[in-house]
Amino acid sequence: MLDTVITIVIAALAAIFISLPFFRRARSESTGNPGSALRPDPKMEQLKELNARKESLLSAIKDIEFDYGLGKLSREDYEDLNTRYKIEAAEVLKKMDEIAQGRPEAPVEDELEKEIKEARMRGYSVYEDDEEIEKEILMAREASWDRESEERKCPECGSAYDSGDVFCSKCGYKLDGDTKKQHAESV
Amino acid sequence: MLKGKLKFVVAIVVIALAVSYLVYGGVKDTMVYYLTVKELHNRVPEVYDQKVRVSGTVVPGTIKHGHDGLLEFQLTDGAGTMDVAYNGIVPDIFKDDVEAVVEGVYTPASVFQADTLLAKCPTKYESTDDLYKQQNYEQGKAF
Amino acid sequence: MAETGQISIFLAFIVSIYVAFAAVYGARTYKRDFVRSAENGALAIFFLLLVAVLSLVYSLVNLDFSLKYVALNTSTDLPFIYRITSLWAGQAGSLLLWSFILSIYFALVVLQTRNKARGLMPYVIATLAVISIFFTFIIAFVENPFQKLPVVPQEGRGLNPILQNAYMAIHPVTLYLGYVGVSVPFAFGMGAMLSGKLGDEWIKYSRKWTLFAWTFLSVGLILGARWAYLELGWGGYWAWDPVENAAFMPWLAGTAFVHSVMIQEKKGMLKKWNMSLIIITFFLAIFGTFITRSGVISSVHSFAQSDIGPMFLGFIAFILLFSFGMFLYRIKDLESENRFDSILSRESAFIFNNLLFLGAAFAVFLGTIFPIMSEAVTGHKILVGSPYFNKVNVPIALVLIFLMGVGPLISWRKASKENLIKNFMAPVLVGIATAAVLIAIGIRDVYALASYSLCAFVAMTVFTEFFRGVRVRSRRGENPLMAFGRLVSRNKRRYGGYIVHIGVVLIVIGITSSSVFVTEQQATLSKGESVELRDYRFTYEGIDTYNTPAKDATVATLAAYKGGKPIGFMKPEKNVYKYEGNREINQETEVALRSTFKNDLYLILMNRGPNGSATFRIIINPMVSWIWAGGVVLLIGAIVTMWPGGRREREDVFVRYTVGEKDSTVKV
Repeated sequence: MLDTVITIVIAALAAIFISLPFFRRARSESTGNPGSALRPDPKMEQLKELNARKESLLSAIKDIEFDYGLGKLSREDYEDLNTRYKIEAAEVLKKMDEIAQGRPEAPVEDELEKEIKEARMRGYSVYEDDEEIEKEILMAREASWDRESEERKCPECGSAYDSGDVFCSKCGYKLDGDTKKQHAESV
Repeated sequence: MLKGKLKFVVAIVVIALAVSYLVYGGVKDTMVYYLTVKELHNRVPEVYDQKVRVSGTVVPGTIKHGHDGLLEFQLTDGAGTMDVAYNGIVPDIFKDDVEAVVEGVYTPASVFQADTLLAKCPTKYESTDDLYKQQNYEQGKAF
Repeated sequence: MAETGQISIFLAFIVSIYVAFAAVYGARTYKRDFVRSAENGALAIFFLLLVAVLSLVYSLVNLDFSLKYVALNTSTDLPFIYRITSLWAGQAGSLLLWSFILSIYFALVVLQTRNKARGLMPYVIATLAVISIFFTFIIAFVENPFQKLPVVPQEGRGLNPILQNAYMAIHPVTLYLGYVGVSVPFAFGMGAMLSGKLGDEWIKYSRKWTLFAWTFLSVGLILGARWAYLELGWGGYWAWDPVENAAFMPWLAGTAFVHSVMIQEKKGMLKKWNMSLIIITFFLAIFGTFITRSGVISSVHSFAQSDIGPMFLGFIAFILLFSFGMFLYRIKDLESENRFDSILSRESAFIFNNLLFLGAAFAVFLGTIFPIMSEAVTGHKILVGSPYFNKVNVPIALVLIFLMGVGPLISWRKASKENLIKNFMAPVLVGIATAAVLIAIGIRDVYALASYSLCAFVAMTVFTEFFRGVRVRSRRGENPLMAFGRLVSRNKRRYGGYIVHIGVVLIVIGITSSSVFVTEQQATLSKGESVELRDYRFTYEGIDTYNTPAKDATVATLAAYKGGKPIGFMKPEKNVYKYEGNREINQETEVALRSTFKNDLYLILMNRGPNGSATFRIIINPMVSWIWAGGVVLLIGAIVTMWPGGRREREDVFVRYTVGEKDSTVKV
């Protein structure tokens, strides 16, 4: 008897747990939040892929700097590889910015170089994890994003929207090209 | 650029050929026929002095341990029987009715000189018959 | 309890089917709730199988002989701990364990990637679910651990004495963690092909799982070897037995994969190769499970014939056809991003490494299935034994050891002459010097010389790497110890990998010494007589018996001397376990073993003769303990490579910051 009860309880728990997401969705649908859609934002996907590529490149740069410092790489080989990686990284960053902001940016190689130099000048040795470099870049980025997202407001209801949105998620106002252009120019 | 690629292809082919050669040579040198007792008898006399493996079950009552570590027993496959002589480490599983595999040479004296002896748990491993044999002895044995 | 367990297994089967469909449906229609539900389903499968496992353990511990599995594998005199480990002693129990471990991996993968890689994950989940469907089907309908007996016996058959041993208690679990673990990177690969996300994502996310599975395969193999050495009592640790090979093949392919993914990560190359390789590795893991479980290749190990053989074959065929089908479908998207530049480069060292590992795997595979193939083709069963495997694998291994030294030091893309000289001069000299010294002290065996010299070469390359790294850091003011610690922790994969290589070197040295320089002698002695081997002497002092509740033991005592000086007593045993007729095996030989770094003294009591005489086999096995020590070092290195380092976590945080992801369910 006890066996049967336990079995039923276990089966029930499993069934409830598995169907939970369907109830959560019903709840959130009634509050009008379409956030449970899985449809991938193609821009987001691209950015993620590019970011992964950028990470690999940063890691490769770090590796060859390390090898060079250890004397495993000749100066020639190091410079050669370093330049290749940097160029590719700059291109990736450029593409990322284009997608994120919807417009081509100013030449990014300088920006990247600047960020790396700044990180180094702060006394971070070449042999540190590139986390320091990352942090610098991150902070620089954050600063500019914060600035921008503050300004990105729907002209109809005033709530914030994402750069990838076509309609305001609160009031449904169509965020046309003009609104966005205005915003871009003001930053 | 193309020359570099060619070097690569050559290297890959060399490796593949080398491995194939090792495999071929290895197989040729070490291949051993795996026979049943009956098949062995059928191949007499060519099989004399040829290294083979024979499998069968140990005939109950035929196991004899000599003093110097010499082991003698008879192996059968149901159709034929064979005398085996072996001197070496005997697997713990080895006893009457067990499936055994011997590797060695069958001599014209009709004795199989084995240099390797392997024994396997009998195929009826999952049989539950012997579980019930004990019932008679161990009645009343409380768990 | 048993009913609960049985029904849980059945429910796990049903839920697995649901998860597969829900994950794919949710992915294709972009309905997040279906995918979420599938994720919860994976967790539910774990929960259900946990219930099943606990239920079976409960029945085993309480000796519920009404269950066939309990009756066949336990007995009233079985110690408590072995009642638990008998969970994996038989066919049904070990298949339940396989399914359970799969569900653990499944659940962890789901939890770890809960809000990441949304395009990829549903298909990964679906793949794992399909594997789960197969295994739960088998334990639900074919080999049910909860099968009842029509009449309850009074006593169980008992656990094979060889399995009542600490190593045998954990060896299957570690091996399964390895075998089953290979499913995870495979699922990621399949997920990549099914979702179309054929970049580095699948490799990035599966990396830690691959390392984890590989580690356990390695540990499982070494524990198995140690168990064989201690318990099977023939003086060796590896016999190229089909079941041993079954675990070795996925290890070979897995090692190749662990290396080749590094090339894809760094250079974007070898995409097609990596995808095929993980399919092959998984195939070999399932094939290995199949060989072990179905008894299709006769082996002293395989412990049951049953109907599951054809089912495994069917599953294997399905996997191969489906995976390679998807592979061909996606082949255009798997183009490399870079070209190879030179044959003297790290890329090519890695490629040769891969080719050799696969060559070895192929050779072992061929040798293992040779009897079946030859019977199918010629009607006669033909075997290839140990000598074949050694003949083929030793040369391959030597070249691989060489590459192990070359790989880390050679540059990417194209090694210049100055790079080669600068980096390799010292290690090559060390290698040559080693060979010279060994020849001078009388060693002439070519393989031994090659092996030791190459090991010295590799050891020197690793030492150089550590030395240079520490030196550079200490120049900046860190003391060497700190420098070492920081060096390793900042480059875990690289230096962890080096530590693993050192472990391998130790293992190779151990294997070489114990294979080439082993000596043995058999002697029948009467009391007081001695036998000498090398600079050891053993004097037979007497033979005795003692009894425990479980066994009647016969123990011989020999006094051991090295170079004339006493070094202790060795007591080999031959035991008879009680309950005769109730067990298939009741005899057990206990080897007397004395290990030092230089030699293992290995004594076997073969039999007892008349008048108190006894026959012994004495084996002196040089440097066997290096193998086990090497295994420990390998494990340490592997743990270092897997240690969480914060890099990946930062990456994801970074993405969220930069991209401004506003998903409300994200936890940063």
